[in-house]
Amino acid sequence: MLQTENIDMHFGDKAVLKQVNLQVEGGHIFGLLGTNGAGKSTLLRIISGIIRPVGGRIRVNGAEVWENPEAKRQICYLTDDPAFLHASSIAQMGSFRKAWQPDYDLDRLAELCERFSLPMHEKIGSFSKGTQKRVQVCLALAGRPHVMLCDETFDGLDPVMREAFRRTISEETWDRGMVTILAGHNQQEMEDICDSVGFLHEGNLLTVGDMDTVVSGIYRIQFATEEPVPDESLVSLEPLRVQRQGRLCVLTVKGNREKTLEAVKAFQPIFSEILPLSLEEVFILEMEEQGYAQ
Amino acid sequence: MRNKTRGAALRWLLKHYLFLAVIVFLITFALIPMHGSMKVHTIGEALRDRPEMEPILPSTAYYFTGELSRTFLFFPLNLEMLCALFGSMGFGCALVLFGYRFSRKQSMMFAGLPVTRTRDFLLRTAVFLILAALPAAVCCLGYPAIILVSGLRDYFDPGLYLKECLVLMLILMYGYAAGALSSQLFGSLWAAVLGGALIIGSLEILWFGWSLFASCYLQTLCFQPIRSMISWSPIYTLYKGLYQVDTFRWLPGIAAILLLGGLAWRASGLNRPERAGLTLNIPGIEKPLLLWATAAGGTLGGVLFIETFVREYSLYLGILLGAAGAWIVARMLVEQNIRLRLQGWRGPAAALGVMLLCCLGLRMDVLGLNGRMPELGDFQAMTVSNSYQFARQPEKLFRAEEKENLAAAQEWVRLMRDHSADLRKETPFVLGDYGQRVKIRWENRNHQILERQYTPLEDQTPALHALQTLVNSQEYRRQAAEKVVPYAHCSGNSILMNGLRLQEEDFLNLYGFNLWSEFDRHNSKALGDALREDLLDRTWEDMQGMAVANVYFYQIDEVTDAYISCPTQTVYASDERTIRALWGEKAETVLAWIRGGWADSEEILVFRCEYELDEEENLNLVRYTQAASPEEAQAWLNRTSQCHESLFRAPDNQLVQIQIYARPAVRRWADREGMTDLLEEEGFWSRLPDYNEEIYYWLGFEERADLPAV
Repeated sequence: MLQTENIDMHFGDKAVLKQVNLQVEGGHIFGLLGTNGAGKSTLLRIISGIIRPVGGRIRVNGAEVWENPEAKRQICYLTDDPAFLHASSIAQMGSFRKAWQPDYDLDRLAELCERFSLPMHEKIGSFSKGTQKRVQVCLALAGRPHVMLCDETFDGLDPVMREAFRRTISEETWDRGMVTILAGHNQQEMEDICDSVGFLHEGNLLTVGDMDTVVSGIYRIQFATEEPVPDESLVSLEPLRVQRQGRLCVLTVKGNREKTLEAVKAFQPIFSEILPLSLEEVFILEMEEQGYAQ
Repeated sequence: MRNKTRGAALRWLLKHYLFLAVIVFLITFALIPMHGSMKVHTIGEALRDRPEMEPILPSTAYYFTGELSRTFLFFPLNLEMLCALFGSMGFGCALVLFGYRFSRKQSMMFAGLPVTRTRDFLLRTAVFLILAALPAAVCCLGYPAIILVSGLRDYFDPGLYLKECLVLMLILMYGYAAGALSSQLFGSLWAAVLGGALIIGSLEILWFGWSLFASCYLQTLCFQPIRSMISWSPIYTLYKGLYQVDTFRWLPGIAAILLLGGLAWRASGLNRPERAGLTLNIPGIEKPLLLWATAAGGTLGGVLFIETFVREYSLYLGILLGAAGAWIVARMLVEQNIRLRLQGWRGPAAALGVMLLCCLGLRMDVLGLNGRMPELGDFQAMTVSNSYQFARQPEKLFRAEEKENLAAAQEWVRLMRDHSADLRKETPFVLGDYGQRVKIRWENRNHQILERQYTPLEDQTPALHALQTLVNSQEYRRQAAEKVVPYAHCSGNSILMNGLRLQEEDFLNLYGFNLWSEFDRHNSKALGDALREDLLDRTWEDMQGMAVANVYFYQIDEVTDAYISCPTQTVYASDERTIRALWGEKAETVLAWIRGGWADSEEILVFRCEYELDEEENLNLVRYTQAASPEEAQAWLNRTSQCHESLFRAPDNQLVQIQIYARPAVRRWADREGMTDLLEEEGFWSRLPDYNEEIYYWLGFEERADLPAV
């Protein structure tokens, strides 16, 4: 299990993370969505023990991570911009990892490289950015980490590799009880594979929960009435958005669906139905509610 | 698991940085006298081929030693370069080992490894010791091993060599410690290099600079800025250690290595990988660093300005400009932006203000250091040394311990102190060589030392009684006699006969013997013995007479044939034993000459000439008078100093000289110039000063201004 307790982080006078609390069980994939500059990468670096938070703690299976080699050995952080030793090959990077992590599986690395068509003995620096990301993922998986932190890892991969790596990570997560955190902007992808999701905005973790609950937490309800319903009558529903086309009214609402339906029935609609939103739409609405980009 | 990880990580680091060992080994190989080790075969053959009973001359041994100590370099390597190279090598090794910290990506990658940062620091330091220090040490030890195995122990000093190697290894480690600290504090390569220079050099600059400033104002304190750095500065002690291995002080260098290394280790735990690429890697050190840079820059500016312009105002101007410039440049470097916002100037301005106030405090001598001297009874010994030898003063160094002598010396020193204070009122700021100084060192019963230096009195009259007491004491005479080198070689041309009032050639022509004396190691001993006996009898009154000669003694190094100068000894007319040792059976003639016989000769003509300086600072002869009698001539001479470079002068626009002409010399001049007819002119011989610019055959003595006018 991965647990963050009241994580605070400042860079100079600027607060980057504010009292971030998070808990992800083993065998779960957590999606971390956030606006630009929300603090996603910073949070992942703190979790991986690269940066020390100003306040709070990170625990992996109960052990604190900061300056704890045993805990850090269980964590692997995949940056958005992969870093390798100068003029090194995959084999050399494997040896490098093995030197600092005795249980690193070089055979597994070779197997992954073969599976994803990666040459073991060529200089990584000569690879394309997308290929370097593939190398990064293979190097990470060969270490069989307990916690895998992916920061926009799949960006830059072609759809085939994307799907292949998503499948591999999902299998690893479920089979070995790994904790996986995917940070990025690709909501569609996250909706497909993540078990839970959180929204990070200006250092605050606003929404955390399992995917279904978060996605269904905001929805649209559209209904038609004989006469247009005045705006004052809709206030009680606390709509996030109101769209009208003649007698058709579409409300974007947050809250309990049954209660909302009951409230709409009071208007004696000709018809009414609930329309689910995508994760992306939910994210946009949540951020708009926070005043982002208005 | 932990040990397994540590071993694997160390092995990986050693493999990854193996090239360091090669580079360090090659550089060290080039710098140590490995080329000399190639000569062992040749020298060995030469030794085997010589006849068995033939001794090895010192010069041959010296040659062998020189051959064995050659390096592979095509240019001569001085110790400064050796020091700089080894220090730079250590610094460079640190930058290579910790170079990943200058790249954000690399820094993050290594920070994500399952190892603590301090452990990582220690692992890399172990790599340095194994891959740099060890190869350098092995290379250094290889050379003596070759020499000793070849049986050439006699031409090689292993103890000295090994000490030098140890000093070099300390220099290497000092460079590494400084580089390691720089790498932790600064986030980019250029910042680490500049920052390293600041770490290494700023303390030296601050100490040297403020010692120099203090020496300009606190003129009675025995400041020597360079020398004051030696006793504590790790760089200077390490550098000087190469020159003077036997007197090398280990503590400053080792302490600095441990301190810098400890600070680097501590800083490694505070290192922020997210700040890689920025100038400063550790937040919160910006303000102290800017203050430090301001102080160092101001001090350096002060040093450069006063060395260039040698004026008091230049010190303040230099501090101001140096501090401002250093702060601006440091801000630009820290913010990585040449466009400067004028924020945060208060701290550096306060630092500048403190420096200027310190200078004012020195000028006003707020602590009263210049005038401080112990009371009689508070000390048990006083040592006096003279940086300049001149007449009418005790010579060189003496040490007073007897009560009466202490009182006399203290009185004399008090007069000098007051005189120095008067001079300081006119010139509070003096840079550089002060000329003549008398240095005093008081010791109390606890062997604590107080040292001061004073300008000697221009008018010795107030101190006459004290000086007489000192010079006439057995303590002083005994010490003077002990200074005569027991054995020395005194070359013939080392006797200057300032007091004999004639040049050597003229004396030879008049008296038929050569004043130059040749002394070898046998009769120079006799000369030394005679001089010691005369010194034990010499009184103050004896020293008021004209000095007859200055005798230079030398010792000769038997190996290198180099001359080692010994203190010069002055011979007075009262030193009859010495005069006899110098001139043997001719001594009586010389003594008679000295005591006035010279003036009795008809061949000698003496004139008292008065000159005045004109507007263009040319000396113009105003009037002259010929001595009416030998007694008058002797009386004139008694009023003069004994040499041309006199401390005693007539009023600024006047010069009074006693000119001595020898008739044979004038005749030689006339013969050479074809002007023999001039000699027959009436009154020519009484008008000799009119021709002094042409004749040039006279000795001139300037009349002392401290005596009543004629």
